[in-house]
Amino acid sequence: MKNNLCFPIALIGVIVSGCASMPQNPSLAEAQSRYDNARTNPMVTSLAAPELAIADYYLKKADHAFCEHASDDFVDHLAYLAKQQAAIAEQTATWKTAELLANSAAIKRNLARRLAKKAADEAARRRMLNKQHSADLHTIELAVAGVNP
Amino acid sequence: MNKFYHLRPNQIMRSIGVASAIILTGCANIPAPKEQMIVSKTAISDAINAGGSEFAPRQLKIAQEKMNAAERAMADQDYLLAWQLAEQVQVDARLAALSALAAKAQKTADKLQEDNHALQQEIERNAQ
Repeated sequence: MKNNLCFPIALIGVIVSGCASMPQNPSLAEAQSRYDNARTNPMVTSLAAPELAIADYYLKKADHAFCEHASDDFVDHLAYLAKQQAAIAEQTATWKTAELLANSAAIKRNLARRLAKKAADEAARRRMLNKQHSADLHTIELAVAGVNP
Repeated sequence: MNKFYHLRPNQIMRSIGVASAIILTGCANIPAPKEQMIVSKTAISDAINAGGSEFAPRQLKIAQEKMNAAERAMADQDYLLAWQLAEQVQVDARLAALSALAAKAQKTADKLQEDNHALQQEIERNAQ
């Protein structure tokens, strides 16, 4: 009776603990750490949620394979997929952020070009007015000199 | 936990069930991963088209080397190895493509910001 209970109790233990008591596999630990980094980055959760969900899926597969005592090679393979997928999620967020930055910089540049043109026109108009003003002054000076030789 | 979490384990159990059966029993009759190989090759082409050769050469090279190894494994009829390598090529190539896209977008953003800075200086000069 005691022996008969052993397996179900062990099984419950594994289910409850998620086989947390088992020694960690290094590639699985690396994948978990990479995934945690991605998951706690708000840019990744907001801009690359689907990619992150796939990483989570691979990580669970790897974890499950490890708990089921699959070969190290198989666990390493799944852990590698999880790790790379977490990197894909991070890179997707970096890419989208850079795209948003480029788009907003393009809008600013178009605006800046218009402002620069307006400023250049204004400067040219000012120079022309100054020149006209100088010419007028010169004419007046000549006229005054003519009246009072 | 959300609905997604509850749905996943069934799918995991199913795929793990198949994969574990293959791994644990050392079953010799693994089908040749022909479709996986095509998907992996496409992923490498996508990475090259995204500018991987210029912007993510190291990551692209890793993917290409694994692709060659997968081809060799197919020729040797080591389908389990071919299958794993083909799957890894897909994530490696996707990462190379995204790294290239990110680097290109960042370069564009930097160039535009430089232009903006120059224009800003021009506006200030003209305003004086």
